[in-house]
Amino acid sequence: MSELQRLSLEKIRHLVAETEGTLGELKSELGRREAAAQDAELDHLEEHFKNAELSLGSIRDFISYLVEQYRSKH
Amino acid sequence: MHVESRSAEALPKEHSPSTPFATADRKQLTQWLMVAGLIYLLICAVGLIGSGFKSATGDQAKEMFAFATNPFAGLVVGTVATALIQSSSTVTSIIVGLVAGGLPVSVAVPMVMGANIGTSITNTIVSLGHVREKKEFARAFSAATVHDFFNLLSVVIFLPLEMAFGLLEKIGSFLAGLFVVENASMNGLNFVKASTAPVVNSFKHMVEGFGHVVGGSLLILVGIVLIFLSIHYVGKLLKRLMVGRAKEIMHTAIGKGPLSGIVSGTLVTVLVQSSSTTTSLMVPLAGSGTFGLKEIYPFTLGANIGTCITALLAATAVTGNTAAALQIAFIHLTYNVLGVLVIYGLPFLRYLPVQAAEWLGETASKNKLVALAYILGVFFIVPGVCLGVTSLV
Repeated sequence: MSELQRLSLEKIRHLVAETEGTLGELKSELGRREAAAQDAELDHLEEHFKNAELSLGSIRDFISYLVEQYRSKH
Repeated sequence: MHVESRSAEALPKEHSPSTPFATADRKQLTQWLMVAGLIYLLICAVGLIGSGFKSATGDQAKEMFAFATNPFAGLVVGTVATALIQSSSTVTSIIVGLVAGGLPVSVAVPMVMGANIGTSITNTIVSLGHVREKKEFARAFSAATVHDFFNLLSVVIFLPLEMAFGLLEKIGSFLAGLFVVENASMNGLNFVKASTAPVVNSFKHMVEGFGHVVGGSLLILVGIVLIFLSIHYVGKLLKRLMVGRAKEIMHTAIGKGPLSGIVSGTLVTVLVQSSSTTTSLMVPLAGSGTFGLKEIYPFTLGANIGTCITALLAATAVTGNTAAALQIAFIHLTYNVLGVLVIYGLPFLRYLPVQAAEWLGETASKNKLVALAYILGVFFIVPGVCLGVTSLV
């Protein structure tokens, strides 16, 4: 007989309610922290604008990475 | 003299003309004046293209673009031109000018759709910068290609509808009709057109001696160069000027759901006058892992809508067939709004671009050659092959 099967109906109801409450709290805390992280990330928007500019450097880096990978394998 | 000196001292520091605040203020004012001047130049340039095209082709614009009457050819022209120029605003503004000069709207519609596809190459290239971190690259590449998949899906839905029923052409014609009075395009009150006429006419006089074809072609060439330069520098200036405002808008949108994301994507794009800037901005935000793909997806959809402002602005002052120019500008807007409504509105379509982009991001992070093959294939090889095949048929 498992632990759960020994619990009374009332006790199970209580545990479900308690777990749901904890889950709700955890979800809202997670949401709050994610939003805070996003807000913090947006504070560096000037920097992101610069990183988002198209430059031949991205293509050059990418190609040189591919070449490095190819050389390391062969 | 003594009193004057004391009065100057009594002024709060930030109001003194010699303080850094005043210098920054003056600099900002100068930058805004430059933006206004560049937008004026953009409108003039579209007018030049319209006049040049009309002059160069006479009544044979339709025959000149006979190769593009096949919608797939038009789509490819729009895609490749935008991928090469890296600006859908530039290409759609050129299309507006060409339509004003006589290019049939039906030929221009697939080109506008192609411009949407072509513009997404910019953020895809930006995402290549994250190549050295596998997970970061998967996220960044997905964030970039979600825009591609959305635009491709949009074409798959709307191009057949356009070919079968002329859906966008009809809606665009209706919307343009609201602003054009008896084909006179608000002539009486169009002060934008009146203010650009002297510049356009001066250029026209300058090339008069070259004859219709050469002179017209010169006007088109000058127009294209001016559009490219004005959009490029307006974008640069607005990025500097509007970064604070863009930040506020994006802060406001956090945690407020997809509709808010779409609206803020639209607003940020209107502010910086470039959809590729907005969509490229999403790449580092997603790459860092702070924003999920489903969170940045609505921003990219908003970027598609916001970018239509440039062509609409350009269409307000063209000479020639103003009704058709406004029609194609409204078609661009309608196409992008309907794309968002249909694809994002229908639950079974909504996350198809996200799923495709996630799969591609994962695959490309495992084998980086996939990313290279994807960019070359989607933006150049497949369109090139299609163009070759359609020219043979």
